[in-house]
Amino acid sequence: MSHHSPEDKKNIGWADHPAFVRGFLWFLYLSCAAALVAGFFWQKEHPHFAVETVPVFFAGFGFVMFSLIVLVGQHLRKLVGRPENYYQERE
Amino acid sequence: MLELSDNPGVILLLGAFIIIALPTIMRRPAMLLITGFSAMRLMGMEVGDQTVLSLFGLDLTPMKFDVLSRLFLIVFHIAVTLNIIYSWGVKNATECWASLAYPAAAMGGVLAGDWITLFIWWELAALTSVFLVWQPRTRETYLAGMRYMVIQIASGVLLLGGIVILFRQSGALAIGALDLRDPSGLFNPAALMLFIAIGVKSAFPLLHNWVQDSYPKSTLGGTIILSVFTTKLAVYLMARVFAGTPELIWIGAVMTIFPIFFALIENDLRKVLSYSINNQVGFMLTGIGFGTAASMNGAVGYAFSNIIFESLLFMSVGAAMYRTGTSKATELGGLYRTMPLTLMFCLIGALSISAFPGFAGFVTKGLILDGAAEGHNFIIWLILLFASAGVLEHAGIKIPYFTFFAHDSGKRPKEAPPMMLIAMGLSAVLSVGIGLYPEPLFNLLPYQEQIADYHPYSAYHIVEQLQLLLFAVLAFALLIKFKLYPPEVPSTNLDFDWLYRVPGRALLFKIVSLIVSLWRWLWGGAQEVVTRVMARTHRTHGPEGTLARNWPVGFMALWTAVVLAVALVFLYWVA
Amino acid sequence: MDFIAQLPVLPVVLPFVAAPLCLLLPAGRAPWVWATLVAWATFALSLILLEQVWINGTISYAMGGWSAPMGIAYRIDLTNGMVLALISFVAAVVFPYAGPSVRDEIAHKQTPAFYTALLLCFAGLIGVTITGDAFNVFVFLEISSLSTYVLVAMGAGRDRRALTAAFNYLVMGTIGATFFVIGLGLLYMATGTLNMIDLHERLVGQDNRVVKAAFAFIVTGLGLKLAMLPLHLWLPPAYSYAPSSITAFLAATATKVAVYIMLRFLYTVFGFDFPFLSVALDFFLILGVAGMFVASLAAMFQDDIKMMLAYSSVAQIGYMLLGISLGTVDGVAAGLLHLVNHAFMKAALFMAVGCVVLRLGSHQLSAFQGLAKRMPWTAWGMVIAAMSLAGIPGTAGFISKFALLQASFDKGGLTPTIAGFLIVLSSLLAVVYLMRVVRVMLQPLPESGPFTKPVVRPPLLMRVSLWVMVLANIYFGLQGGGLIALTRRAASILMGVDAGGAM
Repeated sequence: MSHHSPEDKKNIGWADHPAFVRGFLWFLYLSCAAALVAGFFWQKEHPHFAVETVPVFFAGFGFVMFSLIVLVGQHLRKLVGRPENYYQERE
Repeated sequence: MLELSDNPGVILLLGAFIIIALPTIMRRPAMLLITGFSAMRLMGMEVGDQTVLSLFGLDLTPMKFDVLSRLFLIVFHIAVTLNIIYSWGVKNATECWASLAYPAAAMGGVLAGDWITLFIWWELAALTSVFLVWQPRTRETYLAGMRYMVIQIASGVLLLGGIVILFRQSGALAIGALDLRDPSGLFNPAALMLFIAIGVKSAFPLLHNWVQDSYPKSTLGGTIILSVFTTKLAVYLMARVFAGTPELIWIGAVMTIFPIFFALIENDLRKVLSYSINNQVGFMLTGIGFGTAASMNGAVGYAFSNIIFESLLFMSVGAAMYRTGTSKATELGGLYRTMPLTLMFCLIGALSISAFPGFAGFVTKGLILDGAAEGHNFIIWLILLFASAGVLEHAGIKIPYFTFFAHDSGKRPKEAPPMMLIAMGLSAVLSVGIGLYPEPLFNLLPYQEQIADYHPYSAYHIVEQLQLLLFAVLAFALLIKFKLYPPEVPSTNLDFDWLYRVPGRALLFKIVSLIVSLWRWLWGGAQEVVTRVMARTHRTHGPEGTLARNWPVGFMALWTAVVLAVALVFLYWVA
Repeated sequence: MDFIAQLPVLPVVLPFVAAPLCLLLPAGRAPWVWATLVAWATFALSLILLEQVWINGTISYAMGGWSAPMGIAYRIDLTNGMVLALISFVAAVVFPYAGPSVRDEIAHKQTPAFYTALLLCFAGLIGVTITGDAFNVFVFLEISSLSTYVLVAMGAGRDRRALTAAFNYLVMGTIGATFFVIGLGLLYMATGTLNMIDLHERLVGQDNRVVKAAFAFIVTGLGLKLAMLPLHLWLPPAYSYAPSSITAFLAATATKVAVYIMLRFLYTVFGFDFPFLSVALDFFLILGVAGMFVASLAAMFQDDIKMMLAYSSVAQIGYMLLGISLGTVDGVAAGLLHLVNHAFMKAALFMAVGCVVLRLGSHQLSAFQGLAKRMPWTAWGMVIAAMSLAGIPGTAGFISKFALLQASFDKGGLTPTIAGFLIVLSSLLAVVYLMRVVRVMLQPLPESGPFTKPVVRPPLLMRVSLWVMVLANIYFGLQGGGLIALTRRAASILMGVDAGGAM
């Protein structure tokens, strides 16, 4: 998924091949779509919470929360990140 | 009636000492034989078997075999066996010894029917496991091992305190369910101390740092062994003693969340997995906190499968480290070219821990969430869902992605050695096996009536889980595509342990130096007074100057006078 | 005059008579063999005596036929019967061990003098334990102390600092003895007797300044002898620089006997009738707990292993004082139990260190690196004894710490409960300072430095003696029941006032 300079073209493995990446992404998009559609067909028989009856709830929750973890979580680094030998210098 | 020779703790502990006497080439086969022998004895035990013993007038139950201990003993045997195979090339006496002795202590603890026996195994587990932390034999691991030992022993002290108070309260030593609070709502001190003691070992939030501090610093095999036993022994005890304790729900829920963020920014993948231990134990503790039949089955069932797939992840990262010498995300990447089998096993571990349908995590995790749903505890339910997305991020995606894909590190290591592949292969087979055919695991669970009605592969359950996970993966793919995913950077990330490793340490040294200077000041003052008195005495009485050479004697004599004076004052005026 | 009737006096008389004879023997092995035989015989006699006391109750013996108030009475109950057996057991194990070690550390021509002093010290300790006369205690205490000063000073062959240590010890020991004898004088003033039972009977009801002063002097004097914090400063150097076998012997006996005498004075001579006993016990509680911590902390920072173990001894005396200060049968029994078990562990540890000194010539921590490979029997013996000292289950140390803990919690109340937790906490410190040594021993052999040369293993006799002690630690860890019963009965007899009367 990273860009390569011409000289390590020969090093490109199967997973870095653009066709594989494209194929993988399409497979993912289609699976997501299928799961989304399936949500409308199979409902929980005895829902405990109102949100469980929303057919796309889990999809939306998964997507938003994952993005949130990554986008928000990385800023924690500014707060707690230190050089690698931080403790060695102090102990 | 169980014999002493039935106790896997005793068998493996004796075995640990036998193998260090053997020639190095025979150590690993012997370890396998000993574990196999212990497993055979285990199969011969019947639920309900126990041993009672009267010692110093106390009724002890050194061994008590029931449904719960059976499940943990079985999975502990599996974990030991997998590790023996995985570390086949390691023949070092200390590591081989600790790799049997430490699991032995944990198993003895699982089988213990009374608190005293438990305490003994508990401390033994602390003392044997520290050798695994020390094993790389560097200054860094020495210090980490010391910190680890202090915390582990402190947990033992708390446990002992709790036991003593409990004994004074009830006069009984049998391990059984306890209420954390009195009927009046106040904390019961005995139960609270036991709760915190077990809490330290299960790495409650803020008491968790010893896991990340010590585990990633051990050897490859040592880390895997460590990752299994201490925390799971604690989970077992929580299930046994504090099932249905509401405080545990929240503690567990917090435990599932905060490691997610630390794992996200952590560069050392073995440390990421150590955070993952906390997160996983959090799920189990929440389930135990609900205390319903479903959530208890879920919690212990999840513990069983977690031990297998968490080990699998540690093993695959360990294999990469074995071949490349590093477990840092920034120095790994692109290994899929030359280590395809390790990649495959790692992916199976990742899918299992993320609870994809068809893998081990899926079949029991749902039960824990059902516990929240049955209790109509919406917030906890949301937290657990959120944490599930978090597991996918750090354990399901980050581990395989940064080890095998991501930017090409240019490293082209050989495939992992055959014995490592066999161990990973067995774990992978078990992970998939439990996922597709969970009945044998279900048969081991404590609440059989409940599990009989449970069908993990209902259409709805599959759909909701796939929605959650697939859309999270989609989010990942899009973040990568649009370059929003943060790159890994080499760093040390401060966690709560910073408090005792930096300011706490400085404070301790400050206090020590303060005491020293105070002491010097007091002592110096006294010394001066005595010197003056002695000098005057000397001028008037002492013809020779030899006394001067032995001032310390003078001070000891001074102390004697002080003690006498204090004694007299005490007796005359106080008594 | 049948044998049983004269039995009480034999354990004292035998080493006493044997000591001067030792001086006449030719230098070399003969004095050692002689001393060893005497120790074994004394041990056998002590065991028979203990059995007699266990079956028939307290034994009284009037020296030379003069009855109690006038003559000197020997009185053996379970408590001193047990301490007697302990001392002679330690002697019976350490004396054989001393042979090879002394050959290395003491000049050849000094051997008769060395073993004479050792036998005198041994006889003195036994005398202190066995006698029922307060002034006789002082006499025997001085006999053992004087010979101890000589023995410590004999370490000067290896390290000149032994002389300073012995001198300091001499001064302090003499101050202690003086305080003790002043106390006795005051008691005599108040009562007109020095027999312990008579003293007790006449002291009942007396609550005046003379008695109080006597009590303070005796407690301070004995406190010095037993190295109670803060009167412990003489002990670490004396133990560190004394010859190896002497350290092993003294650590297991001398302070133990002093603790026993303290118990005897507290509970037999003064007894519970004294209103100030509870204050005195609080005093011990505080000093005991302080000793547990101050000395353990000091031990953590020692690089000299003998010094470390010596500080640890001071800490362990704190445990015994704590048990005694609880003032309950359980507490005293636990203190006695720890007294016995600590003798086993410290003897074993110092004997192991002695093996290292013999082969490597040093007791610094650095000499212990890789010991498990170099001298496996010594190293593993030391590990087991260290486990016992730390109180790991399965060893004697666990049993006595557990008993102490139980006694503290059973006493109830705030202070004993806190003290109980402090016991556990200070055991943690012990684990830390012992782990330091154990870790070093398990490391690979050093590649540079003074301790790289290979060594021959220590003589078989030393290893066997060491392992007898180590096995005692394991035996009493696994089969502690008999010893527990013994200490409990001893404590209840000691504390029951009327059982103090002659039978």
